[in-house]
Amino acid sequence: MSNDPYLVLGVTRDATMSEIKAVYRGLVKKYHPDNYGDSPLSDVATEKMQEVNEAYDSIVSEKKTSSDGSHSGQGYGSYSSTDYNKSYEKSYSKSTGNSSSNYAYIRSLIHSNSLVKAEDELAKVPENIRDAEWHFLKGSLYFARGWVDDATGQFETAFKMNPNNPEYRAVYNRMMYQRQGNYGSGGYGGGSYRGGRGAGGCSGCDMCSSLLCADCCCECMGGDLISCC
Amino acid sequence: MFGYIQPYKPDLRIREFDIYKSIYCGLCKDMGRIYGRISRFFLSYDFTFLTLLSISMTEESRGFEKSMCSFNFMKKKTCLKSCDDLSYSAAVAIIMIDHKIKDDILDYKNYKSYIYKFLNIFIKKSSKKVKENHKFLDDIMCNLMDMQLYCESQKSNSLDFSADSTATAMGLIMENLSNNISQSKVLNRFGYFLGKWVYLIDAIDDIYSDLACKNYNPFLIKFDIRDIKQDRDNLFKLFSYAENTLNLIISQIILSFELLNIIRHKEILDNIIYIGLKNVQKNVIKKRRLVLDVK
Repeated sequence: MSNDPYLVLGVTRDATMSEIKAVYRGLVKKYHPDNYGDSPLSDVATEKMQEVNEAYDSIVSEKKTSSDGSHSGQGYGSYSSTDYNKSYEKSYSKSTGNSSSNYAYIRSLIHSNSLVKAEDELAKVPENIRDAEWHFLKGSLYFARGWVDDATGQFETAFKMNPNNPEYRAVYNRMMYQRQGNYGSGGYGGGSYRGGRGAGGCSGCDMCSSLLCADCCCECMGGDLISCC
Repeated sequence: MFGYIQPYKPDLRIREFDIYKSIYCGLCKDMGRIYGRISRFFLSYDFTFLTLLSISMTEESRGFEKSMCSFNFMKKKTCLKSCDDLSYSAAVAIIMIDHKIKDDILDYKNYKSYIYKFLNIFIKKSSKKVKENHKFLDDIMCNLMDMQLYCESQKSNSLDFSADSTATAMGLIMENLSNNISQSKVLNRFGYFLGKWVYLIDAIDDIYSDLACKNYNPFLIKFDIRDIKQDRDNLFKLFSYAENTLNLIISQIILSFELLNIIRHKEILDNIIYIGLKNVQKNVIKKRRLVLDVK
């Protein structure tokens, strides 16, 4: 791959800082580790993210020197994957703290892509003590292997057994979101074809502001749509 | 099994469509050149996609040339010049079709099996040539055949388990498009999900014929369907479940696609991946669902 930062981001040399920022944000969303989870491709995504960050930083510093620092720097703040890993580890230890340490070991096996071994370890757990965490790990194992349909079933079981666990909920919601025909993780505007917004183009925010607008119009004409405001 | 991976034409620019067509023509020519005239009739969109992806990822660009078309003598057509990407796709096409024909001979117990036996005569020689030149393709396909027979004999209700052999084979075939280790890994995952999607969409497409012939179909087992009229409600459930699962697989295809280093023709690939697959999926499910509304 080339090391030209402009090529990495896919912008022209005369692009304005706000254009570059918009492209950069799009790429950060695209390569976000949340999208890849326990997929064996997560390390490739991290590499890409690093490349994008480096390119963005070098463009920002280049523009800064050329325009006497009239731009107030990064604004968005470059995204660091190490921060993510730290928070990831934290959530690991939190959710595994109260269950047997074996689960933590299985998690690390799945994370390092030793799937056969992880499956053996999971099979060793007797059926009567298989809890939400077991099903979640089984789901992660299936997911890493690419068995996404079976993974959904396991994530669903885990979520139903323990709906309060934020990790189970997040993963289950993401699977459901993608099953509805949306791409990427929840909240991501979707794989865009020719810059057009894909499915899910109308966000909750859009809907609220549209409702407020409609209410204002109604009030102008003497009516009322939302009685409380 | 073939022809599901195609662009959504209304959204292609004319110059993009021209490139796509010239790849199709180039592949047709190359198949004819290497494996004989008859092999051209087995060409399909999926292998055009494979060639397109392959030339999109190579550093040096491939040339195009005007040449005579055997199906239309009056007109010269622009074709992709013969290159490694084309001969690889041609080999994959031949060996996949050989596999498909063998599979169908086993599947159909009626007059259709004779049709496939007849087709087998034509493909035999070409597939032998592929097996000699591309040893690893032969290995992949032999493995696929064994795995698939095993999967079908298990009568599993897991969609993932039943699609695994086809998906793995597609992953291995795609993996070869790049020499870069990390890109190969991405290609493998990309091919895996694409193969899984093709297998499952094919299973939906064949659902009524499988039901009639009592052939193995993972969806029929998962939803315990034995008769179209009696299990009508279950069939509706089956279709919406299938749609959700296929959506999930497409989103995985996209996630791996976004990690590929695409150097050229990105817009055509984007068209196929982001909207082409979805369009095909919608049409196949709609077509099968309509049958229920009539009954």
